[in-house]
Amino acid sequence: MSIIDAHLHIGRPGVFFAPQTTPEQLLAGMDRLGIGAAICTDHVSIGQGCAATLPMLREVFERSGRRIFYMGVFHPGRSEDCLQAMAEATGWPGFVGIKIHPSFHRTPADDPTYEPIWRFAAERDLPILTHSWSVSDYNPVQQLSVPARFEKYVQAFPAVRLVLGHAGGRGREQADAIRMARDYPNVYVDIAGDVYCYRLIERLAAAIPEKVLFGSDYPWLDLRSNFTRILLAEINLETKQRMLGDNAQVVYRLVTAQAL
Amino acid sequence: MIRERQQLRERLRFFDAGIWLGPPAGFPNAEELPPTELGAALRGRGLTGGLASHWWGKTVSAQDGNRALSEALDGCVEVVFQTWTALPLLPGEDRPLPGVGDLSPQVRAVRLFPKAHNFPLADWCVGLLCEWLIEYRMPLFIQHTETDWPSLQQLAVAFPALTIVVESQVQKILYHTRALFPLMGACPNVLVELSNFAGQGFVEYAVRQFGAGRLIFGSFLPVSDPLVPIGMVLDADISEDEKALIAGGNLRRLVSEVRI
Repeated sequence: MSIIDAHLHIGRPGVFFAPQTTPEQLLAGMDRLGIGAAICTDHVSIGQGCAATLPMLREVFERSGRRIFYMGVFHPGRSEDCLQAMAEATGWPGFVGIKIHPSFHRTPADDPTYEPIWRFAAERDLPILTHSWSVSDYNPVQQLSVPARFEKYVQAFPAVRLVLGHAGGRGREQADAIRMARDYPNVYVDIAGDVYCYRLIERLAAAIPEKVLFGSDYPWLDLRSNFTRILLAEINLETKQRMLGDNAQVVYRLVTAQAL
Repeated sequence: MIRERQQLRERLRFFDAGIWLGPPAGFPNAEELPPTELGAALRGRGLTGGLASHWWGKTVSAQDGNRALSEALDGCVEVVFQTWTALPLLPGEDRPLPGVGDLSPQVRAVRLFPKAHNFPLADWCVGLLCEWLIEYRMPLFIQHTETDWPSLQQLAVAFPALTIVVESQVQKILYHTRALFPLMGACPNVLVELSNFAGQGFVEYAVRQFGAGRLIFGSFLPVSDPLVPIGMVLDADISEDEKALIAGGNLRRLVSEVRI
């Protein structure tokens, strides 16, 4: 089995001191843990959209020995440029999907400006990874990304595989993420970020074992914070394999060679 | 891959500074850990014991929390010591409080909540308490969200013999590294707790800059999963001796040095 980190970033986050941020440091960390492949976006794209960054990410993919796959970030304020760039990138080696971030882009997930990217994903059979989180009293923009806001497009585009990044966060809306992954064949969750709730892995394994993806959110969080958590969780080995790689293969359709 | 980590976890004998009893506040998905289930919860995650606190110490009052903690752990067979909530020694408040009357020998650490309990973390307010803590060699725990970095620095400089453990709760320490790391560099008596100190490479950076003696294992059980910080230690790129210090050696030393 190949282990896949299905949610991470490269480049400097800017808002804090991060000791490790480069693709080379990422690869060294992956090698230490036995992670075969990763799926990344970069911090420039998160801020500006992917119009100018996809060639750089393609180059990182090649330089990494085809292990660091990449996504295009759709910025709803720069819709046309992003769609054009991603149309060009579709079919490039390593390009595996689309990332959206309603909270960072200050645009609610159910806003009409997201309709073109869902249509684009449906027409090209590309998955969408989105930031999702719970209502937060200290970070109000998170309400733009609560799981239920995605339901309109999930229903309108049932062929598009949607990954609710961070599994809806640590709050009450986490239950909505699990419900949607259970009820909709095209909805998945990843556990990237500090969604460190006690025994969450066991609860997810019981509820939606075929819908959970391992992710780290590197370099915001360490590769190993969620990795060892799955390895040592009180769940069966088959489910660990699904979470650590098999489910990501289903969503992103990577071809990797590294064995567990 | 799994077995190796289980064996290392056993060898390192994790000792937890962040066990919490009582009803968690601000974490809607977290359930209270009944004292009768404490032993099973610790063993289930490979923990050998540690320091327990009570949520009431923050959410009700210091005294109610201290009393509830003592009652909850009365007859406990686990190796679990107590972290009591403290207040400034003036104006002089009812017991049970650290620095006021006799103290149970099970109390091996103290925590302050300056924001929740409305006092400044300043020499003129908590100085008498700090002198008492130094006399009894009692470590002071404080969540980073309960104060500000300049106040922490001033306290650490004013009382260099006082061990101050900065806890990475109730929000992760991430956006604060440009304050925390200089503070650790300037003040050898400042340590950091690990439960949500999970940025990429933070553990290795802190160990190489300041030494393994500056990190204290904590889990924030039952809000957070102990497997997260356990994984951060097991797979850290440091020596096994350094891992053993972080996993439990440092905290055991602090607990054993308390003058009771």
